[in-house]
Amino acid sequence: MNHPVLEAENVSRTFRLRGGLFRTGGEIRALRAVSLTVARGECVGLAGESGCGKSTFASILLGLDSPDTGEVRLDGQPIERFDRLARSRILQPVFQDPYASLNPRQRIADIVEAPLAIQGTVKKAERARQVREICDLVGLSETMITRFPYELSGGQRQRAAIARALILRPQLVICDEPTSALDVSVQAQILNLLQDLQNELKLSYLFISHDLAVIRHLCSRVAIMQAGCIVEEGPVPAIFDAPATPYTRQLLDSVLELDTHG
Amino acid sequence: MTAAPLLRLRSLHVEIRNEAGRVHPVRGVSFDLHAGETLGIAGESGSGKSLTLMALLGLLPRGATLRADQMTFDGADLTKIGAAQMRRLMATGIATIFQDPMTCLNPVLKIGSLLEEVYLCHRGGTRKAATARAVEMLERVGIANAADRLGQYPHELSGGLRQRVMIAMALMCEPKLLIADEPTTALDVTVQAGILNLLDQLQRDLGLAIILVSHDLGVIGRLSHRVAVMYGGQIVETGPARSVLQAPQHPYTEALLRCIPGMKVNPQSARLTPIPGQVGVMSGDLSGCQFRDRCRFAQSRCTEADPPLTEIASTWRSRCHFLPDERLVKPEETPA
Repeated sequence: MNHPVLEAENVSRTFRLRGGLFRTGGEIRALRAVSLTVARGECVGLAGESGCGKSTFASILLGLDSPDTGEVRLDGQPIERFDRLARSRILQPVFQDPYASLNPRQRIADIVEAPLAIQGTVKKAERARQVREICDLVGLSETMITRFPYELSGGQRQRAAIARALILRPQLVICDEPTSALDVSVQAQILNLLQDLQNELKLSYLFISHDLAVIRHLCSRVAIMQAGCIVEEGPVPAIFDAPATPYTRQLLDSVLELDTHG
Repeated sequence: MTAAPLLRLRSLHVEIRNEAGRVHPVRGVSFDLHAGETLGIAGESGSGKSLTLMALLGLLPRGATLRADQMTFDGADLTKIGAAQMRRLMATGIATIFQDPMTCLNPVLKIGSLLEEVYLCHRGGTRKAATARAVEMLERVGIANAADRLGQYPHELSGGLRQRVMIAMALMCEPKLLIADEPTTALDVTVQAGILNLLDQLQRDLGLAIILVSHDLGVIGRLSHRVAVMYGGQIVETGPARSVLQAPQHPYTEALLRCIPGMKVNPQSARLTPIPGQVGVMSGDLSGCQFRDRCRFAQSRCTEADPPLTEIASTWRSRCHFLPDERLVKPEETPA
């Protein structure tokens, strides 16, 4: 009964470009037979440069796009078996830009409540209670949740985005560069929060980032992606200490490390 | 270091008046920059680093006023020169590159036109000479097949190439100072490494002075000779980059460094130490140390008096009432 939360097997996705007046047709093979597993309670990092297919992969997992070939299983079941509502109870996203991913015309409390309201299974009073509970968990005060997104700082907005992702108590959160738009001091707050939530709620994360130091800090396993393929995958310490492929080595060499007092 | 500095800034203040009242985001920033030197300016969003630069460039937003005891570049008083002179200076004396090369390059002009325009506008001469200069600069910034690139549009280039084109454009008229505002923040790590190497090389070859603004202390540490850490509109610590980043004297510098996830330290088990709270709005009563509410060493003295910029070593200063060995951690702030 202990299925991995997420299994992707040989997922491929090709985008066809239409030929036209100014360009000839062609295709982009965004994903080539990508396989990745996230076990329960595990945090898996997915690293690679822009254009390597990380975000296409995330869209497929979120059901925003479907693969040409290959299979994605949630909790042991093919992803097509779940309708949108059922899928959203298992899997939720947190995106990079908390400025763009929150509706500017809604108050934080309404934004956080929305997934629950859409499910239509919980009464209004209970929904409000759950919103307060989850906001408290991510460190947003009672007064904060009556405000609009523009009244909040970047870090507070990202906390609101995390609260919205967690209100349905999903098993897996897909974090797509959740801290790259934040200052380091705030990034540290959010990373600590994600760690605490993982322990408290037994969450699994798929953590997409180009920042290898952040992945090293947070994840137990990492997959390195290049041009639509996973070129290397394994436990974080093994890969970071002894990368097997030249591409991983190049990525690691590009990290600017400060010689500090630790 | 006895030569006159290329850029000298003494006690720069910027004030903004709007409906909400009066904000004072830059409060007495002073520094010198010599030819061939790189100054890294670090700090969180809202610390005043960008406004300091905008003041230098005469690009302050509407409603903002500046005053400075001294603001000279290469002998010219920047507080006195007019808009036309400033435009001239922007290409031939001070050049700027910004974070996002896509929004800074005119999308309907070809790379060639973008580069030639700068040259023709400020240097004059024939289009042929300008084209030759454009090819030379593109080669200089490490772009292969430079002549072919002239016919391409910005959208046809990758992010790293665009940033290189931007650097080429900035250097067309041989400026003495390059201001780089978060030049690699939008780029991948591998591309970032290439751009930083390029800036390093150009500085050596051309004797450029560089002001590098970044919130990434790794980037600052890679290029800078000196670093100035800003908080609350003031420089809170300044000194040789290596010393400041290895043995920070100001609690804010130390706290910033402790936020960064390291590649060497034991992962997983280690928790990061975030800076509690957030950057304050620079209005109202601004006496005392601005960092005191977020500082784990804050004492009553920090509220009562403005901390002076204390000398640590000959070129190293920190704006704190207490030296590191005089500090006491507040009792309620025992680390979790």
